[in-house]
Amino acid sequence: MPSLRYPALCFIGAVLISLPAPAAQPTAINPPPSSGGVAGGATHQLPPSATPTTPTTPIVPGSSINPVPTPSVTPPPAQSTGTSQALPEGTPLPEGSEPEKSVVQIFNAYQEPNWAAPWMPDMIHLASGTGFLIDGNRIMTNAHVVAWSKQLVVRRYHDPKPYFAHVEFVGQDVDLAVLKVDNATFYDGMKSLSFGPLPKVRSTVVTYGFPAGGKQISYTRGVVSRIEVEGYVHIGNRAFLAVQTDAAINPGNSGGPVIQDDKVVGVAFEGIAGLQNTGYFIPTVIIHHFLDDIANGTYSGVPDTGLQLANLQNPAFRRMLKLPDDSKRGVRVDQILDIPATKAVIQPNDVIMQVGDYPVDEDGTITYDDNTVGVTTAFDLAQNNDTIPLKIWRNGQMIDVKLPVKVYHDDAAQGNQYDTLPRYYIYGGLVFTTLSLDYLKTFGQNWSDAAGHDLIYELFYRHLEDPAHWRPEPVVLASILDHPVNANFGVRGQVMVDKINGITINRLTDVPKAFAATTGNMAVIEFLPDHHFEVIRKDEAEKANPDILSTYEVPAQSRL
Amino acid sequence: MKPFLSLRSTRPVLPTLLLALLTALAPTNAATKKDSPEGSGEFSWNNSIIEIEVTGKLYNYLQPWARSEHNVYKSGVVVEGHQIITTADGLADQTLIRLKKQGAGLFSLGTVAWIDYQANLAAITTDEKDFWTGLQPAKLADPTPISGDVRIQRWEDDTLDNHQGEIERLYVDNSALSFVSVPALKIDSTIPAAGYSEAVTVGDKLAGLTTEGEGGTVVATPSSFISSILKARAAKTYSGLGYFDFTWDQVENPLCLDYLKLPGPARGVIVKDTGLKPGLASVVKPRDVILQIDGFDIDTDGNYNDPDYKKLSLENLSSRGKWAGSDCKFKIWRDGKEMDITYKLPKAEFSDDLVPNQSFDQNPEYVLAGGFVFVPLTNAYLRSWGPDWRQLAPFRLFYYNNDKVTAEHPQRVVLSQVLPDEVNIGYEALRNTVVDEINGIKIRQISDVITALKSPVNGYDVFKFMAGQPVQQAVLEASILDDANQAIMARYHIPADHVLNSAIAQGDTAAPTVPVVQK
Repeated sequence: MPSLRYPALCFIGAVLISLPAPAAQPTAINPPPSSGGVAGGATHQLPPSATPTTPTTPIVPGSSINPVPTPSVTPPPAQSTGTSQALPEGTPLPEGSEPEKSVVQIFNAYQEPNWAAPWMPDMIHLASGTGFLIDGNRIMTNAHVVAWSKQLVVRRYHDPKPYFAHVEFVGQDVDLAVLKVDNATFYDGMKSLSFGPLPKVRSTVVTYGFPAGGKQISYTRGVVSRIEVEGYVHIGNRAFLAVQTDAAINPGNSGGPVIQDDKVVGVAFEGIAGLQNTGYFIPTVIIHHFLDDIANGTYSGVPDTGLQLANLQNPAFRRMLKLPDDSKRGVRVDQILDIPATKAVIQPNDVIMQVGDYPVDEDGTITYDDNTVGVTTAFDLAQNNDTIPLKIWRNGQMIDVKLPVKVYHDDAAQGNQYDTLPRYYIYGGLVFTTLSLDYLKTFGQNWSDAAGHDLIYELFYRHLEDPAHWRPEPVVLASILDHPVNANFGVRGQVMVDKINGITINRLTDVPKAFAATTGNMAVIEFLPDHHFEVIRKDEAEKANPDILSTYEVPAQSRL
Repeated sequence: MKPFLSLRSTRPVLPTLLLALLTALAPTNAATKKDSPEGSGEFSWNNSIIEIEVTGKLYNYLQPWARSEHNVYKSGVVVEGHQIITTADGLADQTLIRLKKQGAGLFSLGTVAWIDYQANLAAITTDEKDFWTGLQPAKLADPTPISGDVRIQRWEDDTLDNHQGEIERLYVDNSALSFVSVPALKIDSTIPAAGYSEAVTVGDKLAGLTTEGEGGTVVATPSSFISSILKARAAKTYSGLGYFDFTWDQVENPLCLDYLKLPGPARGVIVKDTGLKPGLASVVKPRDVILQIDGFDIDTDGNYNDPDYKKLSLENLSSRGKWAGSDCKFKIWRDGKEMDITYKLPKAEFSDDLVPNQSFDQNPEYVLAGGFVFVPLTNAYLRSWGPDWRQLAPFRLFYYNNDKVTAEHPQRVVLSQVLPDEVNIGYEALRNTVVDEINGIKIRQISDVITALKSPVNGYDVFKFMAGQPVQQAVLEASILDDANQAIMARYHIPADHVLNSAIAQGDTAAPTVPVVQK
């Protein structure tokens, strides 16, 4: 069973709170549900899109059946330096500096939605993490530290005063966020930290943070163990470059700086439950991508090409593709997701020889900053709407192509979703919502078993294997709010909807339209996969709607 | 839990001392004598219950060329015609059967007279004529009692072990080895490790043969079901079990019947999926309401009132004295009208399932090509992931478990693993990947792999896997494949580069058949 990755956020507990009064006692290392450890106890071999571990070879490290995290054209940005109000911009920390004075503790009172009862917010929780001051009076932290926030409070080093903060930008895919503190005095005397390069393997780093919710800052020293493309569990279905270290990274460290030579070389963000001395931090190449992205005032995300790449180490395959015998370059395009811009310029069995400035080896790696990493690292340097120059071997010839890339949103339901409340529609007590990973997780820790294989196939496999019958937004009958109008229903929820009144339900907005199309007084709802059907009387359902909403404290019949 | 005897090597043996104590406390012989007809003094279960020792081949479907053996100890009961009736469970892939009577003496060699895996019944016989001397055929209770006390008996260390049981009910359930519905007798009893065809007796009548036993509950195949098959076999009218190849819903929501315009009180069940038997057009249609079968009214729970056994599931009417090919008279409600239709029972066959639930009496099939190991996807392969295979087996393979055979796909073929070799460098991690085509030829069944490998494309064998698999294509050099196979077979101690079911190997385009030993 694969190890469970967890974001290094300290979960303080399910308490009703009045901030600022942050609890500080050490707590269990379990991540809050919002942080999404997708594998959360699942015993099924999950589809690749839902598994936060690196795909197995011979897939190129970091590539997945989902759109591969895309390439980058440009070399990593030069180091940037941080500033604060107190120091001129660009002033590096002086010799003998104290980075801890730039590190803050963040308290998040958050409230997730309930994906099974989408109108109802879940319990209020309090969690703490770490952040640090960067250029522009911004506090950098992890997205999962501030997810579903209702109130954010930060505390400075050796300063008891709490300061209210708000999220300025958040990148859920790369698990990064920047905050602003409303009170300008917060920044008095604080120095921003500047960013360093990708650290070398075996070099020493120090993490700064507030593990286990302690009030005092904690330092842990370790070495860089390896640098690889890894699953980012906050989003759940994306993988980017990450740095593994044996410096302790525990819940509460999330969002804290990882320092080398007084520079930030990463942001601590996740670990693997059950493995000691295995923590991960987000390297500066990803951080710079995020900061460059928000420079125009919005965050777009890391674009995807939709390419599934496979290594090309087998000599027979290389000969069949007419690659020169002495060549050790090239990774093969194995599959392409249905992204027209990519399909227009890339073909299956194209051999990608170079991405931007990075030659690609036959095992699907590139040399990036003296490290051997997955080729997706090169793609991931691109911003939304960039064009990536590629050298491709096709039909025995080398050609140059330019690959336009965009952020891919079509697989959002297969990952953990944030920022947008779940959508629903209620008719006669029947609660309809969209099929998503977040919804399946409401089935409990062993959700992949409890959900049944039909829902899992529909969410993760149908679009790949059976696109003719794929629905852009499968709809489920999530539950039934009991009422005499629906008391005799044979199904009670957790089942996929096929048709209503003969109309195929491709998305949630089809549901009210289909009920409105009821002829006569009987609305017929058909379910998959076994064509069970149920009937509800239109007049009784419509009469019951207000009663049901009132009885169950549902504020509105729908959120479409 | 239904025990698959083939998965158990031996029945737990009680320590000698404990057994001696139990023997002393439980008046086994007295109980046996009590079972004898009063005053007759003739019949004794000692002379009817036989200890059966089966040695069988045990396969490792992940390495289909590997073999080991296992032993199963079970019971049988002598019936008329020099037959020992027993369950089929545990007899598959047998290499040796030994019989011991009356708990003493030497073993005799046995052979399978007939075996019916769908019904989970078999008859053992022996050519040793002396074996039958002193044995007494048992009579079968028909109808089977549905309440009262029973004894559950088997030989244990040459003593007829005799346990108390009480019949809880007779109901309808899936056969122990098959998807077909058959009657089952549920018995409360504390007998340990039952389910190995122990004899369930009432007086001097056999009431059933156990098929499973766990946690104080024993399940048995009732004697009336066994009796009906024995009679049909004797009359040569038995054609195997049939089944209803449609699914149906109980009617909980009466509005569903209103919607279908059925007048009068709520009754019947609503048909969902039909035509589950591949290649057979069903006379039953989705949303038919089944009102009657063979004159029995069907209620909204899907039950009928059986003259012998009271309320039973309608599924029992597919085997209540009827066999594959028999006609059942249905009264249905369709399109606002009552109709009478004749439903011919299709034959239950394991090969109807895309992923056959059982593969009896045949070696596991595979084809080796350049270290690529191709196997047909079977339930036995999925069960290789252990007791929790439903959770642990690769999801995509497990998902096929629901599908039926189609003309396009009589089987699914899986690249199960790659045996590392220079020829397949770069592919070592490929495994459990469903094959779509090889050299442009669609792979419908395992034998197609051999056919396709005879037609390389420009000197290369090109393997394409189903969309959604981790990798969709691999290539090997065709000219060196034979030499590579020989080297790989030598290195990994593999005796043959392929094993195929003969019917398929001959290029038969029909669905693969599971050979059943019918002697």
